[in-house]
Amino acid sequence: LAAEEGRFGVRVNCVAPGMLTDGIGARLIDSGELDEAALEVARRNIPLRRFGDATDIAEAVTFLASDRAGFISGQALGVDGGYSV
Amino acid sequence: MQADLVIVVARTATDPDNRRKGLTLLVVEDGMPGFVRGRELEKMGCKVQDTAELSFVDVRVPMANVLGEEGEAFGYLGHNLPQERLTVAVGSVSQARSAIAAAIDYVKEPQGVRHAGRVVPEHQVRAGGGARRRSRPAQAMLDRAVALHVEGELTAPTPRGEAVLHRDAAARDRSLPAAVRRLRLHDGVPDRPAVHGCAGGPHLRGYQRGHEGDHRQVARVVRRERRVDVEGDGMSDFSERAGIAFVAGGTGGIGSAIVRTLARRGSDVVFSYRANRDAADALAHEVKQFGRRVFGLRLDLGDESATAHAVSARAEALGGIHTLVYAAGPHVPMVHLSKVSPSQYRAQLEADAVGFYNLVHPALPLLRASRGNVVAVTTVATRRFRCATGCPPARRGPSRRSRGRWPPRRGGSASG
Repeated sequence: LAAEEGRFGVRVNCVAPGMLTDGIGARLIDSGELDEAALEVARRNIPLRRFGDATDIAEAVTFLASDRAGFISGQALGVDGGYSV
Repeated sequence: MQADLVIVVARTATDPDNRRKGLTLLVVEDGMPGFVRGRELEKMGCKVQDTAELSFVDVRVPMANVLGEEGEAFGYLGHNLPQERLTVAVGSVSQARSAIAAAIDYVKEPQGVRHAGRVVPEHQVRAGGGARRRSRPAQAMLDRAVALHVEGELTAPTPRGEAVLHRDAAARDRSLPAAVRRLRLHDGVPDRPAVHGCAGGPHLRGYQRGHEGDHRQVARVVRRERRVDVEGDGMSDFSERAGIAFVAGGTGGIGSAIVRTLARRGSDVVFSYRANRDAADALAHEVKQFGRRVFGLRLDLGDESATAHAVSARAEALGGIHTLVYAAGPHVPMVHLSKVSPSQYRAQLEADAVGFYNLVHPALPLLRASRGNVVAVTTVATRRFRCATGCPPARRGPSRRSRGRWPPRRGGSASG
């Protein structure tokens, strides 16, 4: 999409969340699918040693949607506390 | 009366072929012989502007007090006409919308509909929504006119500006009577705020007449309409954008945070939700505090035609789409692939990747028109993944990422 629509001025980007305490992450925690031991392992895999939340994602989304990101297109911005590094 | 300099539009010549010619602006000063100021007139509205009778008997005005060129006053007076018309449009639309909103809030209260000792018929309550819908095109046209004006492109003689303003006037004429009709629901309930809006019917008309020509009023009103959003985090990235942000999955944990942040930063928002109407109503109600238009819309992204219709109809009614956010998608259970049946896998793909495409495809022409953008909330599991994320590979599918690789590998390419 970014490659095809860019000539029309349309930018296309992704925000790629890591482990959060909201959304799917909240359901996984609440349902017990991820128990405390699993959460501890997950936390250790994140350089920042903590989980993000929905506002971390919303900040990235609104940045990419704004004119501040006017020259950014075709990118996937990982918002994951460094997990994917 | 406060003024000590009065600018008089005086007829200094007549031209039988052009009645606009021969008008001259004369500056008459307090104390000039023959110039007498009468009493201040009582009016219903516009208390800040004093209106008084002025009497001129054989007043002699020196040539130095001729403002501009002799005979050219009509052109000067029309110079700011588009902005003056905007004043009327902004005031009319905002008053109509607040009156309609107050009326609808009132009739929705269970105790409210019985307040006057009678039950408001259901069809009248529903008609409130019709009044609100009729005010939306007016708002959209007004937003467009304001945007044109900010860009300096709104001029009285240009067909484009004229068309916009004429449509504004037409929309005002349609929506205002609708608002006033709604308010008849409140006969006999004098303590409701909406009733004061009703009493403001004639006041409203006086307001429009009285404020025509006051440029500062336009600035104030426009500021109020466009800048309320600055409250909050001080950012207003979207306050000058025409149209809406469309957020799919607006009631989710992430989606609702996105809706809030967009509205706080000045964007009107339409969000879709799959099922949770209570959450949608609560979110819309909460986010309206930022002074933006926010609408929830129940929508199954798996329904291609319904999704296409929702996107294009909302965009048309609200002045286009500047941002499309995909924050929807099914829950992703943490299970091993050996436990995911092919049909479950197919359902996951269809709910997520196909849903995204159903949403983005009808939006493309609208985004081209606005030079807008798409932001999809995906997952960082496309770059690093662990065991027992059986379903997430659906999110790594090629549909979501036009240049994506299959099978996915670590450090996959950029999405979109």
